[in-house]
Amino acid sequence: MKPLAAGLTVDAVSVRYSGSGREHTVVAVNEVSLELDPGEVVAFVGPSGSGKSTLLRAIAGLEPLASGRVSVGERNLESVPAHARGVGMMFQDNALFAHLSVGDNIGYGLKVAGRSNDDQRRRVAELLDLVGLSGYEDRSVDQLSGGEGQRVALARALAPEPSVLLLDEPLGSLDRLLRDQLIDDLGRLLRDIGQTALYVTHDQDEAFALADRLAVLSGGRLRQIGPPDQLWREPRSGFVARFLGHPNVVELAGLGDHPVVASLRQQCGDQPVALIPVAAISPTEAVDARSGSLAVVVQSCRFNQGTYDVVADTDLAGLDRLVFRSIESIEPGENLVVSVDLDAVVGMAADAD
Amino acid sequence: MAGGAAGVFLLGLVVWPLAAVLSRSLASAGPSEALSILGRGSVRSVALFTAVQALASTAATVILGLPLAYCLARLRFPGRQLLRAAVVVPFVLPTVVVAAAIDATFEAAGWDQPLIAIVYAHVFFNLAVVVRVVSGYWATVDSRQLEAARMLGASPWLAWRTITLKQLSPALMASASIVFLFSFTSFGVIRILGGLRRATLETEIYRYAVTRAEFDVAAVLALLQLIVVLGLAVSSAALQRRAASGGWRLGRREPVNTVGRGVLLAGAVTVVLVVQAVPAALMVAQSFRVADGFGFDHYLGLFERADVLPVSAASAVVNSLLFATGAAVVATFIGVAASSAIVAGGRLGRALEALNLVPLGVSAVTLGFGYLVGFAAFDLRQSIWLVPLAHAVIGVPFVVAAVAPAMRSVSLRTRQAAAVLGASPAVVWRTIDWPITRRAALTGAGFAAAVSLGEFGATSFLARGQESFTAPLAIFRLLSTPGQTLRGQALALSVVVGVVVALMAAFLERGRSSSVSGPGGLL
Repeated sequence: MKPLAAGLTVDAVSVRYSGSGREHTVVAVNEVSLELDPGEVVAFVGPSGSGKSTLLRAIAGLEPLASGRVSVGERNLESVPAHARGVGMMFQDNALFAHLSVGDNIGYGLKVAGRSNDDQRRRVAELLDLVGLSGYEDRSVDQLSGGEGQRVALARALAPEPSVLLLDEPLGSLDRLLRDQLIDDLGRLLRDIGQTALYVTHDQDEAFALADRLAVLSGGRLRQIGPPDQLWREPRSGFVARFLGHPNVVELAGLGDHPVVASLRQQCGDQPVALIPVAAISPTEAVDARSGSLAVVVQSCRFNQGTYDVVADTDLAGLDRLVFRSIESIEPGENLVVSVDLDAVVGMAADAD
Repeated sequence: MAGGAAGVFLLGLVVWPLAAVLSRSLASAGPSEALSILGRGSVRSVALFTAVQALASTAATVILGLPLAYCLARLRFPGRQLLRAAVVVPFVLPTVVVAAAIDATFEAAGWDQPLIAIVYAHVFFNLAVVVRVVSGYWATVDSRQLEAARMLGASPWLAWRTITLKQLSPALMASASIVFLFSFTSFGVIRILGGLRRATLETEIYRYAVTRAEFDVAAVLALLQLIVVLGLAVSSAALQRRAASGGWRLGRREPVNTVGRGVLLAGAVTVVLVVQAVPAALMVAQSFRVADGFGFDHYLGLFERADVLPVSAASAVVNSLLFATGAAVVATFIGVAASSAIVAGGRLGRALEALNLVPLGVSAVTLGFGYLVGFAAFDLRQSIWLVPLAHAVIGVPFVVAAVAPAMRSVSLRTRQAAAVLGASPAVVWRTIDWPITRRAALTGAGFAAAVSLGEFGATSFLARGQESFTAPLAIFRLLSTPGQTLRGQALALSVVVGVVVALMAAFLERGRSSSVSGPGGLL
């Protein structure tokens, strides 16, 4: 049941919205290029308004391109309408057909393609089995729970064996617990069938869990793309680092005079932004400046999933606060020494725009 | 108990007259006699024509109304509210005024096509029904389901047919059955535009009862009419409920940025122009037409009594206004009482909810005939009070349609919050319920008055002498008597009454659009 795994090429794609009246045109997607290997899962992440959903819809053929080219395998999709692209899509809030049963929802794409009734029935049962809802054929879609609805929507999108599957925040409306569970199921399923997929989400955890590669977008531009671990270790700009969840990202130019700063500058070369990894904290008065230690005063300490998130003030000009984890609870007001892992400091470009 | 009073009122003035017609048709004629009346060739051809014109009207209204409903529900364009008002307002225009406008149009064009003229007039009114019921529902159809269908390989047309049209079909069927009902029981339009050759069950009931005084035949025809109407009303109510049970979330309105949307919008505007604006404009133009050009002669003529009228047209307008005021007051009291019982629920509430809709479905002629038969013994027929009472009965559903949703919108929690803050039940009603209900009650009263101003069917049976001669009766009398001057005056009077009612309706629509009652609402 392997779909014909195909690659996807997005070449310098731009999408513009013409505002009504005298409003200027809005460039929602700006010259984005990327390539997906057959069977690869790539996640688009970015803040709302970054153009990630628009890019997905443009690839689907639901938004017109202002310029650029989309192709699946060798096939240029330039003048191919949405329904003839052989691309599947899964929507937020599932968008199941309210007037059809679960089975008829999943069978819709097969029916439209002119497959025989027997063939449809067999394939629907197969897909329901795949998403763990065997025997749900005759249920009405408004009897489904949120998680079941998304499973049916996935089965519906997979039924016609799309060469590429596009998923637009498919788990966005579910609660945390259900989402964690579905992320695992979804990731396993996409890999098992070797499905080429593009996944839009605003949740970096979801992206880390699912994707072979992450593409970070903001302001309609692709900021960085790469495997999750690589992106985490080597973010290319302050924006990417902060968006992925790095707490201590700092502009070097604004920092005051301190032995640690000199080491940071040396480590970063001429890169203007640095990511400061905190290696250890110790309750000692002996501040060893050469090894990259900073004196801090704890401002707040909050329990979070087994450890403590600590926010501390530094007396270094330009670095107001440092955030790190602690195994133990620390009283606000306590003086600490924080060692910076100078070997792991990453230098980055300034934020564009 | 206010709800009980409303129940007694509706029982006495709706159920009793209908029961009187029923017993008359069965008792004095007998089942075999009734069947032989129904078997007459003339009756069968009348029944056939009734159904044919109603079917043609329904098909034309739905086909022309569909693009309009789409544009109003899904598109964003300047003048949307204006277009909506232009479509919706004619629904309450007096039947004789609309018939006069269509008559003027066909005369100007030199066409003598009664069936087409009748269908034309029915489309004029009923576009509002399709637009109300269908566009309210269409606005909630999720456009992403359409996109999902396209992503599964369906072309735009196939996706529209298999998703949108399928989801709209309960609303479409509901509006179609309502249009069929209204066209089936149409009276003023048929009498004016059908001429002497075209008769429907409705006009035949009138002819047998009033012109020929053959009550038995009239009663049997009324029974047949009643059976068809009740069957349709029940099925359309069920369909409306199904249509209304869909997801209730407004979709985003799209800009008119594709050729297809532009063509649809242009088509929808053309429908409104051709079906509604042109006849209205021609009627106004011809009302100013005098022998030597244009002038106000016909309007001035309204103040003198024409030979064919018992009073001057101007006094008929005064009568109509008085009746409308009385009918609105009575309908509002009954409607508010019925609404509070309906909102409270229970057996009385459910009974009133059904009872209140009967005057809307049952033809005015059947109702008028029922008054004639049912109140014969009380000599009420001679009283001019019967006219405003009949108008009030017909106005009650409009009041309930405005008031009951407003009452429902006062949530239990608001009342509880007021009570917790120390308000007694009487204070809660005065400070929470009434301020919200008051506006709706005034809207309902306005619609009841507008409907009374245009009522023709029941009034034809009940008007007696000078005091109860109304403007619609005057329009009909002037229009059906040969002579260019009388015709001109008929059009002038139609313009006066039409403008008054249209202004009222437009004003009331404005007040109502801010308090949307949900999808699929007819009234």
